[in-house]
Parts: sequence; structure tokens; C-alpha cells
Amino acid sequence: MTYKKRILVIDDTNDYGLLVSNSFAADEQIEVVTSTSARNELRNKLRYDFYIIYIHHDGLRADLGVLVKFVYRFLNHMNPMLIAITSSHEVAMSTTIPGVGFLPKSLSIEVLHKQALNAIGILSANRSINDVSHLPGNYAIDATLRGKMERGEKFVLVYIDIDKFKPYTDYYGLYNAGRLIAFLADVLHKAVARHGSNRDFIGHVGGDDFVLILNDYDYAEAIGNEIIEQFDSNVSRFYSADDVEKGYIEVLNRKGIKDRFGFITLSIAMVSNEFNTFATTDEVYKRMMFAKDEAKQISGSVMLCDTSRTPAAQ
Amino acid sequence: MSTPKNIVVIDDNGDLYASLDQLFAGNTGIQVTLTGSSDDELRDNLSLEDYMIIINYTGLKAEIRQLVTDLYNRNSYCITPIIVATDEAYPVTTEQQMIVPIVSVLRKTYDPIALRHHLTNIIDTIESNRDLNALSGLPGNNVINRRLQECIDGGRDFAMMYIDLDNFKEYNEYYGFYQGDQVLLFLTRILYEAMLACGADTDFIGHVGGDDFIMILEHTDVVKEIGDRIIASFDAKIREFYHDEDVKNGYIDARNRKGEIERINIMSISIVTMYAEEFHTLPVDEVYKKMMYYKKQAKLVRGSVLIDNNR
Repeated sequence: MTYKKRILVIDDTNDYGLLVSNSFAADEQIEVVTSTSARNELRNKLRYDFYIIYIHHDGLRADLGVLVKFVYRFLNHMNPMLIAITSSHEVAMSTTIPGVGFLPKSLSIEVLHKQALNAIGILSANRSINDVSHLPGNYAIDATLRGKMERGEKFVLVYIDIDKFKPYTDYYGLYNAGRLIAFLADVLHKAVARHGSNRDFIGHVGGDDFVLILNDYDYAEAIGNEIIEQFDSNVSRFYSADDVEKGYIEVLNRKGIKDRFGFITLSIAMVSNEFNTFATTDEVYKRMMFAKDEAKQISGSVMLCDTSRTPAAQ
Repeated sequence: MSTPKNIVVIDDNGDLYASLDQLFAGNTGIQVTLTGSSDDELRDNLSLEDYMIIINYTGLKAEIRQLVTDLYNRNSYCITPIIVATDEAYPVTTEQQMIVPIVSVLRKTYDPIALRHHLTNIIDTIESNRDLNALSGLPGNNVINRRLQECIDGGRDFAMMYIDLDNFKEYNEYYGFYQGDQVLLFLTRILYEAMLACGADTDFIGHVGGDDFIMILEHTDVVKEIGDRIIASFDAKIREFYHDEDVKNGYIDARNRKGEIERINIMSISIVTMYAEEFHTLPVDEVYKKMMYYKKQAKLVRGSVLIDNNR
């Protein structure tokens, strides 16, 4: 996604702020915001989405400890890396200011630049971990697939999603939907542990969409079958006894009319570079989404493996 | 409570490991593991759950650049920060050495307490970023639940606003994920600006996921003002996210769950408010269920709506 990742530099002299700004001037992914330590200005500039906040200690009129306290109060659970840049050894060794890292002023701007990029990369990856399943998200999925393609390794991309998940959520609420997602994540873990290798990757796109990146097609179908079997045989646990007996739930559609939905099922689609050549990850996703849409058309839990060697229909 | 957070020290000398192990000896939340730099040792001692990898640069058997590249390839995505520890004599902080994903270089001559402080700080930052939404940067479900519980336990008055979009799913499918994300970023900004304008500095905005957001307000008398402001800002700009033709029609032709083409109106916003007394009389999941019911009612009303129960 191409929205800018922000760095804030707090500096009353602005020479350091300018230095950092210039260093990122050519970077389209990153925006550097500068502010003095004046409370009013800072209050307006402190946004929820900073990745790193640098405080130029040498050019600061305010007391560092008080300033950090103010920043923390305002950030309120949002947690950028907070780094004070100082030439004072005593300040850098200080342990009285919680939550702040220190960098020596002598560090070259090139190193600071590189370090900021590394830190932003790591924070992005950590943000992309799903908070329900604790599985890595889109950032990691894309990086893993891209890494495999660059190194010329075999892969099988498996897409898993739940059919009729939205009506289920509307009816049973977010709490039960969360339990269901955690259950599916557990099924994926167990199926991969049983049939796969410890180098296989499990990711969570979001909502009810999951991805596996497997290293070999030899065991991919066994994993898919195991997932469906485990899911289908346990799914009634997530319905009330009444609804299990009826075999469906009734949910209001947008017109206020009741629609009937049977039990949730799984759609699984697979594509692999063992059957087709892909130049980019986008080509893989495109073919994958095509296979997934086809799987979605079939009612009940289904696994669709795209093993044809023909170009994907557009 | 939870399993200790693991710091792995890659150290062929053992001196750095010994000092770090001692440094965290009294801390049950953090555990320090030693490994050598050979392939076999790394395979046995590294896991995806590690919070930090510290490389002892001094006396390292492997070549640092190769080692870091291997660590990077092991899990192509990097959630684990790498710290290089060095003596002053080894100038590791040159540009070409700052390879991904090294986030920090520290001197082994650091004061031990400052060192512990520095490392704990990095672990805290990493951990709290896991609870943020990757798109909006706002805190997600774990923080929302924690914050809500704090408010309930605090016993004071508060309001929780549940904010979501009408017709977002269809918009997202019709215009694509990229455009959908732009709308979510737009909504994030609106919520934030409304809070800045009318709320308290300590008010809270969380991102449940997708187009669902939660605000927790300390002062309940500003609910209407904030709600109205959010709706006004949203309705004023949302048409800019559509093609001219769709704006003129006032709808898009999208597929519904059954695969039929259905006319889907321009997006609007629904806000449902629950107050402290609900949370003081019902368990949290019951309050949520009740809220879902109000939300359904709000969805039946065309256009943006603020449901401000009881008050």
C-alpha cells in the first residue's frame, strides 16, 4: 500500500530536522515531519501513525524527561520508536526516562537513514501480525512469496476462506466469530505440522482469509484435505443447539428481509510454480484469485488445485 | 502469566551472553538464550517467536554480513530486530554494515543498567506494535479490550462509540482494495480530527479491523458533538472516492452474497453509542450483542446515522 510512513523530528533549532528531512527527500514511502518542542505545535503535529520520533536533545529548549512524558500521554497506546539524539554521554546513560532509546550525535546521517529504514521495516512487519490469530499478515505473506520467487524455490500458494462468514458474524457477533477464526488458525497449524515441513508458512490475510505457502506440492493436497475434514467435523460446535437442529440461520439482509444461510464451509484454492511460470507475485495472486472464485461457486467445503499448465483465463 | 520473551544471543565468545544473562537474571518476563553462529546451532536455537537477536560482533566466527543475510532469508519477513554489540575498536556503524534488519548497534562498554533499559525499551516497542493495525496505525482488539476493561474497572462515566461504514464491502470489491484502504485512512483521519477538536487528549480510538472502529470518550457530554462532526466530515467528502458517473447515479452496481447484481448506495456511516452503565450491569459480550442489535437497526436507516442510546 502506498501511503507514507511518517517520522517526526522534534528540534528547536531545526538544523537536525532539516538534515533528516533532506536525507529522506527522495524517498516516496517516507515523510519527515518536523516540530519544535512548543506544546501547541507539538500537540497539532503528533499524529497517531508515526513510526519513529527523533528528539534532538542538543537543540532542545525543553527538559527531555518532561517532553517525553508529554509525548507519551498524547500518544496514548500508540507506540513509535522514541529516540533521543544527543552528544552528551551522561544523558545517553540516563535511566530515568522510560521508553526512550539513545543515539550518539556523532552517528552519520547515512547510518541514521539506514537504521530508520530497518526499524520501519521491522515495525511494519510486527504491525501486520493479526491480533486474533497471532499469525503474520499481508506484509509477511508478500515478502515470503517474493523471497521464494527470487531464490527460484518451489512453492505452493494455498488460499483458504470461510463461506458465509459475514452472515455468521452478523448473527453470532464478533466474539464468536473471533473464536471461530482462532479455531481455523489452530486447524491450519495442526494440518501443516502433521503433513508439511517446519519451513512452511502460515499467514492471515485478515478476516476469514488465510494463506499457506508450502514448499512442495507432494503434501499440499493432504494438508488441504485434512483442513477440510477437521473444519467440517467440528463446525457445529460454533452453532447453538437450536440452529444445529434447524441446519440454517436466518439473517436480515440490507432490505430488512430474512435470508437463510446453511452452515459455514471452507473454500480452498491452490496454485504452484510446479505447473506454471510466474514472473511476479501479482501474477500468482491473480491466478490464485481466479481459482478461488471458481472454488467459491461450488457449494460445500471444497479444495481446488490449479494444476493445469495452461495460461490462466483472463 | 505468559511465556517469557526470548532474547537470542549469537555469541561464539560467550562473554556477552554471560553479562546479558546476569543482567536479566531477576526478570521473569525475559529469558536469554545462547547460540553459536554455525548453521546447525542457529537452526536449533532460533524460532519465529524470538523477540530479539543480539550478535556479539567481537570474536564472531561467521562473517557478519553473511550471517545477517542468512537470518533474513530464514524468515523473509523480519519481525525480530537484530542488535549488533561491538567494542569501540570495531567500527560496525558504517553505512554498508547497516544491513537489513539491524536496528541498533550498541557498545559493549555501555553501563549495564542503561543497556538493560535500552533492550527492554526495544522489546516493549516491538511488542506494542504487534497490537497496532498495519493500515491505520491505530491500536487493535487487544488494546481496545484492555482499555475498555480499565474504563469499566475505573468506575467512572464513559461512552463507547462503535463506528462502521454502510456499503463498504461492496465498494471494496467494486473499486478494489487499494481504493478501499484509502477510504479507511480517510475515516481514520476524520475520527482523529473529531477527537482533537472536541475530545480530551486521553480519549481513545481503536481499529477493530476492516471498516469497524471504536472510540472511548472520557466526557460523555461531547458524544453528540463528536458524532455529528464525524458524520458531517464523512458525508462532505465521501463522493470524492467515487467516479463521477457513480456519484451522478448515486449508486454502484455490485454483486450481493447470492451473486445477483444489486444497486448499492454511496457509503454512509453508522455510529452506535453505549454508556458506562451498560457495562456496569452486563458482561462485555452481552453489551456487544446488544450493540450489534442497535447496529442492525442503524443499518436499516438509509444514510449516516448516530444512535445515542438513553441520553
